[in-house]
Amino acid sequence: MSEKMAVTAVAGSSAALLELSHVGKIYGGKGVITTALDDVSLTVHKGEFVAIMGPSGSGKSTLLNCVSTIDSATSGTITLGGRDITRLRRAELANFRRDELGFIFQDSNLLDTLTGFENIALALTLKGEHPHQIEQSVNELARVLGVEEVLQKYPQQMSGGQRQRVAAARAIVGNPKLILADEPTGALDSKSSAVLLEVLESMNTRMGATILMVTHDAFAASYSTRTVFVRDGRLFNDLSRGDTPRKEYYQRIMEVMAFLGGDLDAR
Amino acid sequence: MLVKLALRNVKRAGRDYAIYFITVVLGVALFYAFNAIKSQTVLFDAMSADSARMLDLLTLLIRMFSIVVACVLGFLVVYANRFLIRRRRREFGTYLLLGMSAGRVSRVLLCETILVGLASLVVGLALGIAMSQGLSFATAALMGTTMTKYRFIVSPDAIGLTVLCFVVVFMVSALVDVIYIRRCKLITLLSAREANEHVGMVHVPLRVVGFVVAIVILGCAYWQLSINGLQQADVHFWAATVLMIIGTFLFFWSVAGFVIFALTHAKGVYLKGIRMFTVRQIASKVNTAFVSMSVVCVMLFFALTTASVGMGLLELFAGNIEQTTRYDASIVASAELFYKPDPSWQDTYREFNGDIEACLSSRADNWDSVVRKSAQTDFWPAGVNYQELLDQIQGAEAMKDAQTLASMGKTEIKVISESQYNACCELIGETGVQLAANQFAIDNTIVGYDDLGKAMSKNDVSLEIAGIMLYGYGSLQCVPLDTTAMSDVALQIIVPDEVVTSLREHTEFPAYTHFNIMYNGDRTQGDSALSKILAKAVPLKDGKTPLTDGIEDQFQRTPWPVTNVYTGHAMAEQASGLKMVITFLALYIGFVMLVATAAVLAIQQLSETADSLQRYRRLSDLGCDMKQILGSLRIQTIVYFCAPLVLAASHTICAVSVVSATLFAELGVNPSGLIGISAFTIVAIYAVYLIVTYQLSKSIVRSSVCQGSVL
Repeated sequence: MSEKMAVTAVAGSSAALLELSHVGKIYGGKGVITTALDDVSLTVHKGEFVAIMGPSGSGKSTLLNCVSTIDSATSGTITLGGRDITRLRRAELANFRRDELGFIFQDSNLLDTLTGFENIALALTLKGEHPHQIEQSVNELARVLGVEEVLQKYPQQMSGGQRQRVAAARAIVGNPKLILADEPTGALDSKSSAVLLEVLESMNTRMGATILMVTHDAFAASYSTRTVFVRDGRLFNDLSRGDTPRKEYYQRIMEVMAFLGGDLDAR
Repeated sequence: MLVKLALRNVKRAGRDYAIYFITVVLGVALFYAFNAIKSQTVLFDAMSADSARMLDLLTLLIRMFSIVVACVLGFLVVYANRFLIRRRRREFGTYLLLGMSAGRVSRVLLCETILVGLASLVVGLALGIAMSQGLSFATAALMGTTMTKYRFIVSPDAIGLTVLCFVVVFMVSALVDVIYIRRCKLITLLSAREANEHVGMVHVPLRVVGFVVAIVILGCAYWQLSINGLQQADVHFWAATVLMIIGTFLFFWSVAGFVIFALTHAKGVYLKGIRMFTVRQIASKVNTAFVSMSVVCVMLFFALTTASVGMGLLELFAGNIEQTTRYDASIVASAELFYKPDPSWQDTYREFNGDIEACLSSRADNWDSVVRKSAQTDFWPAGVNYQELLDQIQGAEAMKDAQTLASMGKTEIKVISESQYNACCELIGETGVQLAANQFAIDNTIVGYDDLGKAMSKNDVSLEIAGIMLYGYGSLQCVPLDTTAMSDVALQIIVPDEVVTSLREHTEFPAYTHFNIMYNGDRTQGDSALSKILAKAVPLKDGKTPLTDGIEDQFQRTPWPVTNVYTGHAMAEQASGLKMVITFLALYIGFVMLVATAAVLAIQQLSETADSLQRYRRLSDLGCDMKQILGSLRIQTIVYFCAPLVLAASHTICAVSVVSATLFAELGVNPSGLIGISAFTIVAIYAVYLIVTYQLSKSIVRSSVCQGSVL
């Protein structure tokens, strides 16, 4: 596709961080075959905040799982930072996740036995950073993301929004190449959602994080710099925000969604 | 339909139930095997009266302790069942949600309990019957008899008792479970997390203080115990027990909080790898289960102490037996042992001039064919107390405690003459003493008095007896003066014959007399021959018949010539009988407690691992590799098993060293070899449970994490 050529041309400047090339994922065996992803090709550049939107069952979570190596693609290649992650061996996968990726899941996935501080610090202790350094980094980041007051609390004692912000802090504290977020606002009320999305936005604009976010909520997607639409395991639209204000971007997204939703019979 | 459901449930829960099932089976098997000992003994060849008595004692004690054992196993069954049922809350909630009535759910539960109970009873009894066959050989060996006609024996009594006890236990457990399910609200049953699982750490400062207090309390308990010395159950003993129990509970309540507090302030150590996660896991588990961990600790303490003290007693009673039974037989004659004796014995004494051999040999024909050599030692009251000697010793307080010294000081010295002493020594081939006219010597076989004995034997120590001034011989003798179960020669004074002659001018009768005999033939023959001689020489009054076959029941006890008879052979048999009793009891109780506590810990650990699977998956998602995760699991398992063991070991070391100081060291017994062996066995059994638990946990975590994403 043209995107691929664009990538090779601009190899030096705005480098392609993530590249999916004809990725497919098939479940099942004899008789019952489910195609979750069907020939998906996508390029994400450094510094982009990409939202992946689609209805339930469209394969967007599967896509994220394949990128994050939690699941494995059955065909195609995925390249992150120059490394082909579909070729990585079992033993290398854990290290890869530790060093290159950050996660924010819908239910925050914080460890309930650790305090907020320890949850964020875990991303660094796993990498073997110096304890003194860890303490500094975590406190610093917590201040920036506004979760200082919950550092000594346990996840059960935090509100949903606070938990997600702690998860976001954990995702970025190790300076990963790519942050993956799966329906981060899914379980939050509208106010907490807004706060979290602003945090994600500032992580992208001020700290330069590259974020790949899966969502079914157009409002969340409107915080991104680019939205990709998935349906039945295929990408079928790609919207760049450019310099448009968020409200307009949001409208455009809603239009595509309406088109997506109404088009039940058109296949 | 219900039975089918119950059956499938039990099959499905295979792994969870495995450890619990195996432990219950072991418990049932042991229970049966030990209670069936009595019936196994009908197979033994002729047993002596002593052995039979020991066996009766053993059977009685086993019956008594079976109650304790049944309680311990009952605790295990009820706890494990309740634990496993609580983990299946959601399943039962689903049944109720689908519309099954509470009564039917109860019946499914009851069915499951019956199935598991029946299975474990049947398998346990089968194993127990097999074990008891082997046990009868072991019993025979320990008692020194043989079992030439072996028959496969099953004891219906023991089966009945076992079945009764365990049916009660399983019924109680089923009842507890049914009540729990009925009582719980549906929402609680269906909720994801255990209502009272303390995941976070609350009241940290309180726990830190609590920990320090717990250590102090335990220290006080140890101090109280060392004062008490485990001699009697006085106020110090109860204080020590209560303090120990409180201290243990407080310890487990607070230790996790304390460790977290200490570690979170040692960032350099804490913030590495997944140490934070491991520590928090352990802490949350210890906090939630602190009650059961404390109970486990206390039970382990009892198990360890029983085993150790048992081994010590074993050494004490049976370790020295060869040293103390060198004479084939000893006759003791003592007026002091009678309340208001008929004074006719005095005429007999005068008739034979106090010579026991003359008396007995004149009344029996075969005296010389039975008795090869003999020696009589008379013990004469010296009219002076041990205080005379104690006053002359420097630093007596360092050698013995004040209480013992005080009572020793008030004891009157009894002396024996040099020639009688030397004759006695010669019987067993020991060297006697060569006293000068103004010397006294001391014979002592109780190790605890050795220091005093040596000090009292010094040349400058003086003693005035019957107007004659005597001085110490210089060295201490160590020769037993009769045949007994334990060393009993305590600072015995030996004086020249002239002193005794002087004493006899004022005293007609000795305080008591020993008469030691060496046989012509072997000990068994000699014993029965002696028995007949005594029956003839001092026949039972009024034509009474002997109560038993034992030698002590064949004759009439009189202050002179024969009050008691102790034969080397009987002593040895008693000792081995005692050995058997102690070994079996220690094994029975110690082993059952150990196995039950290890099973409880294993079940808790396994369940906790299953509950934490989600956490392990999250760790894996974050990029933690399997090696680190399994390493964390390993540390958690080890710490969880070892924590109560270490504390119990600490309590045991305190208790055993106290007993050792007051009892064992006194009598020169060093059971540390045997204690070491039993400690090693206990740790080995514990380790087996630990390793099996870790392997099972590892496979649960592996299969769950490698399965794939949690999304």
